[in-house]
Amino acid sequence: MPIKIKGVTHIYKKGTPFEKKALEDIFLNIENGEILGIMGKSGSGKSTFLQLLNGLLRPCRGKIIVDDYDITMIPADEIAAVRREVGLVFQFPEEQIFETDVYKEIAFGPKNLGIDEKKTFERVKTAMKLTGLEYVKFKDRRPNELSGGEKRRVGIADILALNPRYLLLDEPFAALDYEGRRKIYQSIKELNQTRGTTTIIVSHNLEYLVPVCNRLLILADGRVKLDIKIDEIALYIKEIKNLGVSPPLHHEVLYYLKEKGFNINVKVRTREEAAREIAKYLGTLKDEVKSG
Amino acid sequence: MVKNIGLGQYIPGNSILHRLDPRSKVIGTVILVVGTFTSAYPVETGIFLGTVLILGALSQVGIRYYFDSLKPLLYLILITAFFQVLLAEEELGQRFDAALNLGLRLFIIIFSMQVLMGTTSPLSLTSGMEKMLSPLKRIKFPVHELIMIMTISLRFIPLYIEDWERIKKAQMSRGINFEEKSIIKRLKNYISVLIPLLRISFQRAVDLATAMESRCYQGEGERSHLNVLKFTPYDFMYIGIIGGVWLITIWL
Ligand SMILES: Nc1ncnc2c1ncn2[C@@H]1O[C@H](COP(=O)(O)OP(=O)(O)OP(=O)(O)O)[C@@H](O)[C@H]1O
Ligand SMILES: [Mg+2]
Repeated sequence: MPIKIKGVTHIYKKGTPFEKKALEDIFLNIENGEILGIMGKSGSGKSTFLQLLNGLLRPCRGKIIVDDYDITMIPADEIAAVRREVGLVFQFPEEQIFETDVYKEIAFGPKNLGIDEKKTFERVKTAMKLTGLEYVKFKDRRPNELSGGEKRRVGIADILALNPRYLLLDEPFAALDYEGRRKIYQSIKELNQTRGTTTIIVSHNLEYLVPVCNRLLILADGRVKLDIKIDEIALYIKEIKNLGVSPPLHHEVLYYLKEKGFNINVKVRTREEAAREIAKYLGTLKDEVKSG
Repeated sequence: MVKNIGLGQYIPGNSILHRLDPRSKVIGTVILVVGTFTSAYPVETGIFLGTVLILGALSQVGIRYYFDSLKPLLYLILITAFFQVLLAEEELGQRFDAALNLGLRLFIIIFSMQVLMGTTSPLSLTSGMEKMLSPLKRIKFPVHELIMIMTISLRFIPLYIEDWERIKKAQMSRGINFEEKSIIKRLKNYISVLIPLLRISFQRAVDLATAMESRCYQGEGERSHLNVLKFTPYDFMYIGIIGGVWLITIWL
């Protein structure tokens, strides 16, 4: 079932001199199986948006419908059930690690839900596999002694062990190298393909979103300013730049080629696709030269 | 989320009181507190009440600030007054009077501190204190070190509150329930917040020490200040007026 957001407004510290409107009048439908990327400048309300979706924050106005339930109406002592369905991985999830070894750390969540030893074991194993942490090699390691990227993956596995149906990731790629990012891309894609997990990813870098997402949202000043399919980026270069986001290089190249009057297909996602389109165009050009 | 404004939080602004030297505000507050304690009820106390209310209006930080941050203390005042009524030995009418007397004094004292904290940033408050305490350096009292500790703590408290909220939220999204009915279980769940918080705090302390050392910080030395504190005519006026109010109540 999709997530439906109807007219949501969120104001922090309402009624005090520190009052701050973080989101205003958001209307949005998120379809099942979608991988949605969210961008926007610092302070545009991205993290607030994610926290509203799993009930950590309650909107001042509006409805958030997840699986046909309006989660804004669920009483405080039952909201934990929503958080299980809608797993939110915070920025720097490695901060939350508190157990003494990796197995215990990932097992904490399922155990806390009252899941038995055997099933917990299965879940930990799956979560580790999904995040690219080899079970035998990592299960007894002390979290302190892991690298930054490995800790990050343990933090994500913590949430995956809860078997969420929706996965929200707040800047999962921050301070990771190419290899670390690639591992996380793989986990997201695999989850999406095997379980159909709907995923929302917040990032500051559009390059990082392009390989995984199929839809892009840009927030500014607490409002949705752009909502497009990921292969439409090259069509909206101007708008994207105006919103203070730097578009991927290959999309920009395609945009300028098109603007120069080249008859080229700009609906692409990855660099490889862009290269192929350009090669194809050059091919037709050569043919024209030959025949002309 | 921390819903109310914190007790004694600084509210940035540009009122007359904001622009005063922190030292004169501290002196003014001390006079108000001492004066309120020694004032005779009800006329003199009433004068002090009027004074702090006027100061509250001049501070331009909004009535809500005082109301919100005084709320927890209002309970204290009410409870104190309640026991005064219940347990004192005089006649009932007198008891109410005594309760009101006590409650009013507490209110004035807390309120005057609120005015001070609300209009003075922690940084300028501590540098004012350092200046005021500097005569103690002659008797080898480590004023500078003490003030540095105070400044760092004041600076870090909001960060810890932020960390606490953030980690708590992160653990809540792992399904940890902090609203658990059993107290033992609830306390156990808080361990999952305390451990990361301690780790972050130590890391931060180490980072700060490294940063200070790499800037060659040596404690008290030939250190100069970017913003040199300076009394203006307004400061003398402020102290003069509050001192004047005090003198009037003494004379009454
Ligand atoms: N606890 C809070 N209290 C008051 N204001 C807040 C709080 N959390 C966030 N805000 C404010 O709400 C706005 C949106 O914050 P949010 O954290 O959602 O931004 P963001 O898009 O995630 O930014 P970033 O990219 O820096 O993480 C900001 O202006 C921020 O200052
Ligand atoms: Mg954020």
